[in-house]
Amino acid sequence: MFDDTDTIVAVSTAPGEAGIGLIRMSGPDAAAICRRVFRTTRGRRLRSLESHRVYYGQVCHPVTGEPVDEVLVTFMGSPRSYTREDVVEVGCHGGVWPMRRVLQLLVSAGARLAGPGEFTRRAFVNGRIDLAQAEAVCEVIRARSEAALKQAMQQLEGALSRRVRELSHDVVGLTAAIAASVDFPEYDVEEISRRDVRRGLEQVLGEVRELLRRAGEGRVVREGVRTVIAGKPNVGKSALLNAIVGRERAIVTPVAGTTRDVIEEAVVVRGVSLVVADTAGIRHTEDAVEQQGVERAQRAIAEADLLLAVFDDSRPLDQDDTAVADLALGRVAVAVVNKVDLRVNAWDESRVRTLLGTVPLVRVSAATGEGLDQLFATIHGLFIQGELASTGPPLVAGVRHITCLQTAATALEAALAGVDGGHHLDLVAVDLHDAAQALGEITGESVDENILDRIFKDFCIGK
Amino acid sequence: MGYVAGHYDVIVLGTGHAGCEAALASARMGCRTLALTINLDNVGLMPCNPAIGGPGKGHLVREIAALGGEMGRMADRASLQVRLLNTGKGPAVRALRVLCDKARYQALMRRTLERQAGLDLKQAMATRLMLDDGRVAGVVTATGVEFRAPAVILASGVYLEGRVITGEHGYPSGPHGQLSALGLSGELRGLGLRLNRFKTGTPPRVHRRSLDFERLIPQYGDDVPRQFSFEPVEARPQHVCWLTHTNERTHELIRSNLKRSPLYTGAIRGTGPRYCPSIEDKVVRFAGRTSHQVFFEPEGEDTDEMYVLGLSTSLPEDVQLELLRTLPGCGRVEIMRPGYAIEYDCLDPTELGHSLECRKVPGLYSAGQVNGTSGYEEAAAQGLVAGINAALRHRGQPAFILGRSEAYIGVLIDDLVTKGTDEPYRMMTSRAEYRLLLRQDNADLRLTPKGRELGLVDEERMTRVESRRAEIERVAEALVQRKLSVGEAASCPPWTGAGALTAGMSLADLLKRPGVEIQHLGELEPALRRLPAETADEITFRVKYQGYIEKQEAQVARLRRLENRAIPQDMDYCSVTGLSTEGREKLQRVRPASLGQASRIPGVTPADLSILMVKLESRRR
Repeated sequence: MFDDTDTIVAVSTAPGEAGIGLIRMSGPDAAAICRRVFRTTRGRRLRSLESHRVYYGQVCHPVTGEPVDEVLVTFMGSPRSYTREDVVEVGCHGGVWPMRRVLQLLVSAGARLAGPGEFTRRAFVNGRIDLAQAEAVCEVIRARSEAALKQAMQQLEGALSRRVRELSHDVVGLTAAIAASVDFPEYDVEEISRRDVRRGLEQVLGEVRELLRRAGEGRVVREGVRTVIAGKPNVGKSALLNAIVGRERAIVTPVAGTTRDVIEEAVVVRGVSLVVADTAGIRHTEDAVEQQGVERAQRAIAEADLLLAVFDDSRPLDQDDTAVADLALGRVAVAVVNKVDLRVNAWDESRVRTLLGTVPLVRVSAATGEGLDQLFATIHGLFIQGELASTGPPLVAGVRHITCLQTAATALEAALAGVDGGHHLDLVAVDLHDAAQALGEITGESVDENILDRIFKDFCIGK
Repeated sequence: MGYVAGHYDVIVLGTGHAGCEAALASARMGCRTLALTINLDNVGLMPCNPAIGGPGKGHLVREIAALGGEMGRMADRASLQVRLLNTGKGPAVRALRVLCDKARYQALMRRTLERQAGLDLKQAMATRLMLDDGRVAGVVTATGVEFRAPAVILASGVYLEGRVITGEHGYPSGPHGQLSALGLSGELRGLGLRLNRFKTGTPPRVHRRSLDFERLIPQYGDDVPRQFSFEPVEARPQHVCWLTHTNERTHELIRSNLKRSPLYTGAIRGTGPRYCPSIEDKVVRFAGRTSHQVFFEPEGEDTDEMYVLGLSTSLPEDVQLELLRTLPGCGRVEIMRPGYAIEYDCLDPTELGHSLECRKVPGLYSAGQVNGTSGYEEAAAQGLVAGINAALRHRGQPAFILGRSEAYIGVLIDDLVTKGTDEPYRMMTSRAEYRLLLRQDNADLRLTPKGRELGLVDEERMTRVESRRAEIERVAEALVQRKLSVGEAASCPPWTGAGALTAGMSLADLLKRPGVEIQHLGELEPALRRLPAETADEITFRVKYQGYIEKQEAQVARLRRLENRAIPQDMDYCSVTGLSTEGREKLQRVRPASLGQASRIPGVTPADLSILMVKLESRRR
């Protein structure tokens, strides 16, 4: 991360602060990397970028050509830029998710995610910022890194960290087994077989690829738990969204989704960051337009990490409620019974409880705020106390994590190729070590100490 | 009281493996050098295992030899059994282990010191350091004699306030009944240096004639023994070692006597090494194992004393004998010396810079087990570096520092001064992240030019290294150029493995195939058969593992950019705003020489490094 000769990239506006998100890239390859993913409105690549000119077009996947977002690209050639290096700014219009995709594509195209305060540091090192500001620069780095750390911790509380920790444990175990037989050949350390190494490698690689695949589908890449509010019309979904967002002050402004009828809000609930989407009401309908909205809602639900299934306490249970309960069954969900303040209680709770199985049920009033604390505690419990292990995979990962997972996958592939190529296991261990290091970067564990610990814990060695 | 017995450029305290290398290097580099030892009869003593080398450790010895040090030469000349370990594994981890005749090793080493011009060898116990305005000025011995020198190398091993414990008995002592070095610990503390208390142990020794060899398994050395040093050594007869195993009776006996073990009664508080557990530790920690290996190794040609590898213990003597007798072939075994544990003071190595000089006390160097390491080889490597640096300092030249990508010696010292150690530190190949570049085969190519530059290697040896380098490059290139003819491709000998041969394929491509060795290629190109083994190994490695080597070289290049960003030694970390509390404290303590070193200090975060970069930049302006 301290290489000042490469090209760095980061989102430079806070998520959701504005309808337009800005991604900034700085370094010698900024223009080249941008050209790899940018297409003009006519679908052409640019031969070159002219300094201080704005280009309009799309960011597309470099291989599939699939458009990701409409963008405005500005190139500022060195030294007339913020960092005095070549800088490209990409203005994204499509909201949080397309912006994340753009960032990811720029990373795959050769940029490195910037460390905390790294742009500011480069600006300073290149003489753009004056000496008197040096202390301020340090403060910026500290503050950003603390914010990043806090966010990382939040994300790591969840299932991803557990999975990565397990994978890292496996890789460290393999490395230690090879190291023990290499470093202590004169003791009766049982040598790990090529077949065991191969099996272990394949398993870990399979899981890393699975994590990446889901990340690639956009299921994992985000800074929060993708939460969808669903229910039949008029159960108070929007009111619930407003209540959740309004109660917790850590609001970020609404972000328009790609579809008109899905509205997203980012909010932090008891340390869990959620991106909450309100959907069109779910009901059986013959109307074609409304049916489209319902299908979109169902798609959003299918992709969600957390489903808030909303029911109306003031109306009797009907077929549409049953359909909603079916959606919640078997996934990470909370049943929210709304409008309890009306005290109508027309609703057959025991029947729904049987429909919902183990899904927790909370009674609230979006209008008065009654029961919201209980709802937040339930969500917190789901994500922080780790009840997710059994219910499935809402993993939360940032682009940094994906970069680390990619590095790990590449190293594991190299290790596997080494095993298959008949190379000695101590050479394979070099790639395994790189993989362990990449995974360790996600969990913040020191790999080398872990390997030594495992050697002495797992193997009996001594004079 | 207080008479000055001599003026020197460098004084070395101790003549163990660190002290000997330090004294020889310093004298060979032209410094008037004094080596002081508590007992002149114990120069180069091996108080524990009779072997030198093994993975990581053997690499160190090869590097010492390549730089012009002595340990490898002595071991080759005193060898009892030679084995190349890890022959079934990758070339980077193959390592030589040489069992030595301890007495012969000592005699050879002492003679080498005695014959060295510019080196005085004297018996005396230094008890005080003399300082002049905060800088080292000399030492005072227990009998009040002063020796003056602007540089002192502490190489006192496990002797500082040493205490030996067997069973219920503990008494002040160095290893093997030597005097422990008293007084110096207090001196060091008085200088504001942090000390640790470590522990290590050694197994009992038994009499050869009390073993029943019919029931032991013989272990032979290599048919064609290799050597550590780079000049021809006369071949020596190979001796046999013997293997037996512990059993449930042994383990039961240990378990029932644990309450008498000082490790469990709390009589020993020092931190022991995880990689050298005593037999009682092994039985407790690996309770599931029903058997452990035990080797009997000769301690010398002129003695019947045998070392019992695998049975390090500090249990009471009666238990030691009883448990030995549970082993097959040991029914009538007699102990000559009991095993024991030893506790000693050592310096926190983060007090040192990469030159092994104490930051707080200019002129005071420290090397070997006193820096918290374990093993003869680690000690010798540090001794050599400390000796070289004391001499360079005397000459007014910059310090000699090896990087992590240049040598195991570099890894060893960087680990010590950057991370410190909370147990006796042992070198292992897994500690060297660039180990594919640091092979024992290429130690001479890597380091002999540096040894030559320092004046520790003569011209003749340098010429040999250069011609070896040239030959390797020439042959490697020839393998790329030499293509298979149509006839050769058609003949397709069985050793070429799977896949058809095509005309125009190079011999290098052929060598890359699994199972193909350079000797096979001799069928096509007879000149290859005449290559010396080590040269053939080196060429094979470069061809077969080209991809791995390139990957590691790219990593090294990235590392180098950070290593080149120097941090001034007078950096005031307290005045740097924004550093994390732990980061600041660690930086203050270790005082890293470069951003690269700073990045390896546990507790220093990436944000801390960023802030340091900004600070460095603002100092520069």
